Amino acid sequence: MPEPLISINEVKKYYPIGSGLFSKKGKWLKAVDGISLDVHRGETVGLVGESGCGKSTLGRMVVGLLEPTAGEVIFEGNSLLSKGRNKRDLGKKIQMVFQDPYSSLNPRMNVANIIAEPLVLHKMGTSSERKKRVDELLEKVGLTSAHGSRYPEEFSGGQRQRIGIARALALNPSLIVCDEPVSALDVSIQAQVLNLLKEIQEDMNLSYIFIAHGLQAVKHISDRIVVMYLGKVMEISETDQLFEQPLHPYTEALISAVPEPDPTVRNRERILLSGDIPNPANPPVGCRFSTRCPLADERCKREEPQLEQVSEGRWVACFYHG
Amino acid sequence: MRGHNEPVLEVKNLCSYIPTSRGVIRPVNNISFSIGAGEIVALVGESGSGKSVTALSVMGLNSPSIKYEKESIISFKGANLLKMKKRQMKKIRGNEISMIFQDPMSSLNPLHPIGKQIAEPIQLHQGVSYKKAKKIVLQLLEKVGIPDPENRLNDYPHQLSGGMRQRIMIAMALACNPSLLIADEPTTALDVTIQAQILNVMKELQKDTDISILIITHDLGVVAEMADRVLVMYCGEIVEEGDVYSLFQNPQHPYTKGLLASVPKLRGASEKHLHTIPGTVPNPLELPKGCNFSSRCSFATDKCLSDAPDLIETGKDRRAACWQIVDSQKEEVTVHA
Repeated sequence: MPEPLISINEVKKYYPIGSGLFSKKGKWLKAVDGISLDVHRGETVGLVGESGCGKSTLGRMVVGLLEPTAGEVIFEGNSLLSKGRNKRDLGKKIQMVFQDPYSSLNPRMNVANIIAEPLVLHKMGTSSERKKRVDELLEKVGLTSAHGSRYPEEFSGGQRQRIGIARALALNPSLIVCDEPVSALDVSIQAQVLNLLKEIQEDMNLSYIFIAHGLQAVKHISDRIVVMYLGKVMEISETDQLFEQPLHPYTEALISAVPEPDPTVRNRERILLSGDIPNPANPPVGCRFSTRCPLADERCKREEPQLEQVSEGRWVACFYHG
Repeated sequence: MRGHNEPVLEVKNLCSYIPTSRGVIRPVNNISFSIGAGEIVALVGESGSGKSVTALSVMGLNSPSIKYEKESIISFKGANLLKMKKRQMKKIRGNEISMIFQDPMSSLNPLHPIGKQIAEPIQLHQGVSYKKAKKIVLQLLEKVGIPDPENRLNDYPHQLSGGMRQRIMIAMALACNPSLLIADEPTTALDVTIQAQILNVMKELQKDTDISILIITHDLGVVAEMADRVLVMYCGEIVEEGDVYSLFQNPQHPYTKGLLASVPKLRGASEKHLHTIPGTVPNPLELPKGCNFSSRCSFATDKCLSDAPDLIETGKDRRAACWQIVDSQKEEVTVHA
């Protein structure tokens, strides 16, 4: 196995809760509670899970927008947590595409300036070189250089997401964290953006960490999928295997819950999870999924199952996995 | 399919417009459809297709800047809702027609406990006290699957999860036994396992009460799961209509075909390249001259660019607006002759 591009080792992010003057100290919201993951060059790893599972927090720690409480992120052999110049240089190689194409572009900057900003910040190229680079990038994402002088408000959601992608590509990164990049877009536009991301990846040998709650998009784009629940990994698997034969009961329920665009299967047997996602500030003892799991018994409510390898490339955290 | 004897709601030539300084926008342009008793009709389309404006027109909740052409009719139990006085409309809204919205947090009042909020329409329309209404509220909460309803009555919306809030919204909408429920993207803001729960609640309630539902969504999966009949909207017009099975099996309009093909498949191996509909939805101020979809349609001919096709009957319970279909029908006629 070649050296992974990025290694996430036992990363944790805890937030203090009730840290007011009179409240009890020492309570933590464990948004991400010990997650390890390798991403290889040219690979797309999908992070799926419902609200509060920590997928966005993990993505933000990878890009350096949040600092982990514990654990480390190794990128091309260097720790991302070291301070100073090194971090800045490593930062160039990891970029992000955000969910909301409306709030992630500065409405007062024209498109060319938005895309050139990372170049300016890292003092790269002369202004004419930067201009050339911006034109190249616009073309790469399916826009034209004439779009450069316009402002974000003149663009549709899908076009804005293209601008966000162009900005992420400006510094020639090796890894892009895509945080729900198509969730805010219309169906026909989602397909366009997903195709664009795939084309760019093949072109530039990029790696993606693709965060989404929509299983269809994740399945389409990912080589491997990490299923998360309340800050923990439930299952890691190669994509096709995961959908063919999900091992964790949560994965199985998640897949079964997706409404399929085919009315002939509407009366299929499906797993309907009862109850709500527990409050992440107060997760269940034992297995975190035990309160909603159809297979849970006494042991699951006492003991927490560890993530274990069950076959080549497949990891699952469940005592009774299928 | 359920029998749709007498339609509960009949929309005829609904035409709305907004005069702006740059021209007239038509959010909904001459649409007609009906909803039978006990029927679930889905209105699908992308942003700007006019699906929400249609729903709000039925509720009489559109912004006053939206005007209606005079031939527009929304007939509910024989009365034209568009011609109704505000006072009369108030008696129908929340009573005989009710609505649930996409975002349950912003549609609930954060300052009042949920019990009071659900009781409000009952008190208002049936003129009973909170004490009496409370009984009905408890039954409703049980019906929508809220555990331990007695103790939830005094909870405030922020104490509940998104899924629970949407259940509260549904309970509130059903409070006065309406004959029509309009659900505008009821599960879009919810997680997928919670979405499955809410869709299930809606289906069960529909079976129990035989209420008619107009569900508005952009998610074809939700449509396939819920609807009896489907209306596909694009740029303010209905481009295709049909019963859910035949429409998904055999979509006729190129837009419907494109939409269905661009959803990534959940079963089987992943496709390498997704089908896409090229371009974007046109600006409502700069609609193409002929068919609205012509600028994105790979089958568009000169005729499509100059004339707009009518929505015509294309089979049993099927309608579509596309020149391709008109022409193929004509051919059939000549062959038979």
